[in-house]
Amino acid sequence: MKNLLLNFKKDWRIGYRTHYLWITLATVIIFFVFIRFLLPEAYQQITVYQYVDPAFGSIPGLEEAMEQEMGSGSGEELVRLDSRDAVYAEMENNPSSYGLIIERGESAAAKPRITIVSPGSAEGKWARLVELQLNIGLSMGISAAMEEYPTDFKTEFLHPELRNLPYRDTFLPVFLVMESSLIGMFLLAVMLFAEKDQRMHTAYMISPGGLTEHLLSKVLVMVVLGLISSFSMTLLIRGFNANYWLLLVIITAGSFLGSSIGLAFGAFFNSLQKAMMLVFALMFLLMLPLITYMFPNFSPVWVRVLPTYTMLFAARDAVIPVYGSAGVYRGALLLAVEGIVLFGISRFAYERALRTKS
Amino acid sequence: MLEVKNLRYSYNGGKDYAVDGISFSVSKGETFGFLGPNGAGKSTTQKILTGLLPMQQGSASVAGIDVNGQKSKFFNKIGVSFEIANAYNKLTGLENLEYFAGLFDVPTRDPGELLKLAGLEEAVNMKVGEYSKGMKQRLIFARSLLNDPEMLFLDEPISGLDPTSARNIKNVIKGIKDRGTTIFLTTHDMHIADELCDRVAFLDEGKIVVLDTPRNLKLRYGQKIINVEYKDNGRTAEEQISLIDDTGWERLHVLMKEGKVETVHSKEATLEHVFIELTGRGLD
Ligand SMILES: Nc1ncnc2c1ncn2[C@@H]1O[C@H](COP(=O)(O)OP(=O)(O)OP(=O)(O)O)[C@@H](O)[C@H]1O
Ligand SMILES: [Mg+2]
Repeated sequence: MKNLLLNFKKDWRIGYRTHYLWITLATVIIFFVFIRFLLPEAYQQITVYQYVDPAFGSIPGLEEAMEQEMGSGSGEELVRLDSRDAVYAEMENNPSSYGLIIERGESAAAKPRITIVSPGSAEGKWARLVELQLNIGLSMGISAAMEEYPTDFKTEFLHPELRNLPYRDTFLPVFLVMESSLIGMFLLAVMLFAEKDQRMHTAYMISPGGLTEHLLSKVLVMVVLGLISSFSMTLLIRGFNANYWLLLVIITAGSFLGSSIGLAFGAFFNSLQKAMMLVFALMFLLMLPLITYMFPNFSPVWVRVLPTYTMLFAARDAVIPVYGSAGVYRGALLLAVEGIVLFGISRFAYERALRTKS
Repeated sequence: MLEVKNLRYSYNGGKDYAVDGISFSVSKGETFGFLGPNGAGKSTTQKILTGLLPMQQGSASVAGIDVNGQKSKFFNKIGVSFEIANAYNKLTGLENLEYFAGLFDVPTRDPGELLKLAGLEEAVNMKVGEYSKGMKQRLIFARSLLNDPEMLFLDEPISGLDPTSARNIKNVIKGIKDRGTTIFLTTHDMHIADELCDRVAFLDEGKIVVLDTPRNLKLRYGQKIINVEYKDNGRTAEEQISLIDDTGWERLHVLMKEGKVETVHSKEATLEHVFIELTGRGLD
């Protein structure tokens, strides 16, 4: 017991001097602030793109029904568009939006046909609930206002292929990003620091081997690890419903960038302890796009420019291959360029650091 | 083989110099001893000469190649053994040597053979993390020989070794020397320096205080002391007489004249004496 206390005292002291306490508290505070003030409550800011066939003039009850449904001043937005296609086009760019299309039915001229366009189940069961709510609200509102208008309700999907996408599958890209790039970044930094600890860089520097290979080999280890974990996870969850070529492309690029970030830590710091604060801060920052992914309402520009955002959506396009491949290639290219730049900077910084601190 | 001119190095931007303007040259096949107390700047010098630290002031070349900013051609020619043993703890001794052997562009010696040479045949497949300090030291010594270097830099290769291992490594170094390899040997072991080195330099506070062959140094700086045993009233007495000045000679003369002297032994000066005399302190 005395020994335990003694050890605890020692370890606490060391941890405290390595800012562990502050890191922990800072994380708590940041998360709290984020959740309490930054993150909107779910689905408060849904946008409904509405198109009403001008042939109907105004439909009695519709405006009121919409007003009631959307609530007032709670952040939801109703955007009136002037064509069916415009509804679809706008929805593609806004993951938290619905479409409401009211047009003439095919058979009976007087019977309006109401189509609710759902983004698909990318956001899971919440999307279904919203959809249901819109549907019921509208039909009640309209039928209350004008009984002689029997309505014809229909739900369409922006991406019908996604309709039967299991909810858990939508989390796959989150895992892919965490595993292949964030963990890769951390592991690489740890690996590099362990090597510095064993003073292996000095042994390497007096050998004919080049520094680029020395560092790149570690990056490659991370890329391979990232590919192995990504492929096996995707295979388990998606089976053959994923585009593995695109997955290879995006994971390679993302994991390369991730480990290049880890490399930068090794270049600019002497020990993991010294880098810890920044490692945590950066990991937190890079995880923000995961929130955007799950709660699309939270998507400020500064989050969308983060590499994990790029990777997340490109990974989604690879494992849920209904969005086309252009996004994956564009994303991978961006990540690869960022990775190469960072690798280059880190490599030179690393060399400089070694030559002055041997 | 090794040319060093006005080498200066400061770790703190010029406040003080760990190496303070040293110049010397080592010819091909020579074994050059580098001696000095802790903190004299020996390791710093070796690090500059092997390109681990940047050249701040002065110049140095090995086999005609400037050591500053060297790449593979240079490192294929030299071998380096570090003061602090560094090897991959998670790899075995053999795996370590095999890895480093693979980095050279020149033919390399057989790692297994080198491990045997360093007395590590039993530990070939043991993880270096499980090695003792002395074993690690011997491993990195073996590593420095991988490329059969033209010029070998050894920073205290024997320190921390048990007497048997030390003798073994000393013999290996002798063998390398006999093959014509040029050796830059930093050591605290006076016997080794005396036995192996053609010339030694004494470094103190970053400056070379003296540079000569061990023999000349001992003759020049060693205390010339003799131990005289003589009969004094029927008992044997012993006296140490320093022959540095005249009083010593006079005393010896008196004893000789009285016919009492039984034995005279010259006490041989060691490099350690030389060093103490030069710097006013011991080596360790
Ligand atoms: N990385 C470093 N940063 C700052 N100062 C250093 C560093 N390495 C060595 N020094 C300083 O430079 C001086 C020379 O050190 P060096 O290691 O060259 O001595 P040495 O002769 O090898 O000593 P030893 O016999 O203990 O190995 C010392 O004063 C030391 O404190
Ligand atoms: Mg030293």
